[in-house]
Amino acid sequence: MNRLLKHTIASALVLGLAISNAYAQAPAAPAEPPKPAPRHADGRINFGPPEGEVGFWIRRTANLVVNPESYEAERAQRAPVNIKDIPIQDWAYKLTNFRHDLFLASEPYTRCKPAGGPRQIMSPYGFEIVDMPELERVYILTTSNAMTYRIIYMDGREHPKNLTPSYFGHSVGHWDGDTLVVDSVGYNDVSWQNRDGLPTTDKLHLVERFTRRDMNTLDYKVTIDDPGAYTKPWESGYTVGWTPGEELFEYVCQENNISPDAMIGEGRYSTTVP
Amino acid sequence: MNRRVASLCASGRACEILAALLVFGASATFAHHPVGAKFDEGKVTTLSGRVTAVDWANPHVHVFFNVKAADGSESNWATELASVVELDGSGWAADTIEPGDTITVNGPVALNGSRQIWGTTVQLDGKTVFTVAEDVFSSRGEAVSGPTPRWPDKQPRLGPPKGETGYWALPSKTSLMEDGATVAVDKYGVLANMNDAAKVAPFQKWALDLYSLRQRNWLKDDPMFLNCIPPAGPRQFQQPFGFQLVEDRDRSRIFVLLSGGNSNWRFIYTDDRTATGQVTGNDDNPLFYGHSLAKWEGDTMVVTTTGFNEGFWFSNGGLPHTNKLTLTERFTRSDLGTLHYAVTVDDPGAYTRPWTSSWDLHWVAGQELPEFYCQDNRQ
Repeated sequence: MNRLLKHTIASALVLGLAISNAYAQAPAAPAEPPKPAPRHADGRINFGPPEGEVGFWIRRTANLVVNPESYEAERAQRAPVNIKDIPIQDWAYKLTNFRHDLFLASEPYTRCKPAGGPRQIMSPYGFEIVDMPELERVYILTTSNAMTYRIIYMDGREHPKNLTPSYFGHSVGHWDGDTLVVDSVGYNDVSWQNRDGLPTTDKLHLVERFTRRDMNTLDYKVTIDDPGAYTKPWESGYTVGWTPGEELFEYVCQENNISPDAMIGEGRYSTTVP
Repeated sequence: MNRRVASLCASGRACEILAALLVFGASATFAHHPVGAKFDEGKVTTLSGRVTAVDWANPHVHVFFNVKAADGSESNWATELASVVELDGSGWAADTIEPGDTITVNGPVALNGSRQIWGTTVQLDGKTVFTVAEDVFSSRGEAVSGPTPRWPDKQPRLGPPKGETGYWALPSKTSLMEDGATVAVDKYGVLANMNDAAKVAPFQKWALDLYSLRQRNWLKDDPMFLNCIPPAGPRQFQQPFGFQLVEDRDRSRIFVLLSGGNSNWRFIYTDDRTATGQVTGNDDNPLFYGHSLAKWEGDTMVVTTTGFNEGFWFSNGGLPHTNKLTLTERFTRSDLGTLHYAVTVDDPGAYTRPWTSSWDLHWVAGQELPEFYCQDNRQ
């Protein structure tokens, strides 16, 4: 990654801004009906590029809330007011606010921790969904979030008993028509489910639905069922856009990571609060 | 020779033997870092106290406990142990020790004077716990034999046979060394005899000096240990946790999925592209994993990689490289259970001529890569 890009990324992280990405933020082309979702030769839906092309996904909207239309911060660096739309337990609400009181200084993302669950799909530099029917698994490869991968088993296996809690948990999937449905358990309780610091516990059970609406658009729906942190299951989702002609690139978070220092060190007040 | 060892011996051969004994003796596990890089093996002590917390996370599990001093005051100590992957694999669990238990820990204390102790032995109610099985890695899966699995077009498969699972691990060597050299090193790449340094590879003078310095410092400046910098280059194929090769033939590329380091992925492209920088050209984009292009020569996949940065150690043991490095790696699956790997290191910035190092990797059948993140319990 070149220096300018790195600098831009570091600055965006430090300022806590939505990370502007040239691909995601390109001006909308004149309205033209999108092409239908591509298919493989055998007719199954293709979550990647059409044959002979390249491309990957980057989220367009990514607020993990019940009502995205009403999303606004309560005040600078405080948890969003409509977090109350979420059936959040009192301790989890207080923890979310506490994290904001600390200017999100304990943000795991800035410490190069991997992010599983919905936050992986929020990844600012994009991801690929690679369907490998011959191996009976789907891989999700992410550029940011520690440049790591998630495996979704499609062979009908069940979740193992006594899973060691982990960042990505254990994911099994199946096809519901053209929709990839993924069921996951086995998460640790240290991940933040979004940039606002929404907590989850090791009781988290996720059901995610990936649908390629057309060539350019992936609809992501997620049901968050965590009796440890919420009073009932709730749903959210994002719209994810196709970036044609580009490939995932190397991103090593640890290379020159100054974000934690900037957020909690001496630079904090000069760089994180306008 | 390490400072603290130097104080225990006069000079020369005796020191080296002592250093080697210390390294070999203390390294009970293939942990994320050599024990001697963080803990002072000259200061071994025994501490007892009540457990306050257990942090069951990679790369090192930590058990915190309160130690009572003679004056009755208590201080909280951290015992550092092997990884979750190793401890889980040896039959231990996050609740083997629980807050409130009283433990006795024997081991070396931290070099930097902080209240940390390496748990050479940990005892609970008189029983030793958290031992790492000698065969925690080698016992994975069952021994496999059989012909090289192949695709319908007869090209060897580098991943699992159809309908099966597994991954590559158990490298027969764990640090780079020119083929034909006979030099004793431990599993971290630490030389048994410092006088052997020049035999390891055809170093340029500065590179030999730097390699020797890193060795004398017991690899404590390893950026993989300090900052979770990726074990890129040949080093990714010498990590204890293994890797998987996933052939995405529809897209003419192979994913290398790593379990060591930070469980990174990278691509090896098998189409006819040329190596270009990912944003504005090679010069502008020195990378950790570089740009990798592959072609097949008979049953061998030959991968050429350029575009490296200098921010990582490309081998256990601390052999230097520069951004002039070109790697030519040859992957040959000679049968179901064996992947022969040979790498030619061509780095006119650090070596006097190209040289080759090779080893075998073994197929761990029926198992999934462990989930391991170096970054897990680091702040």
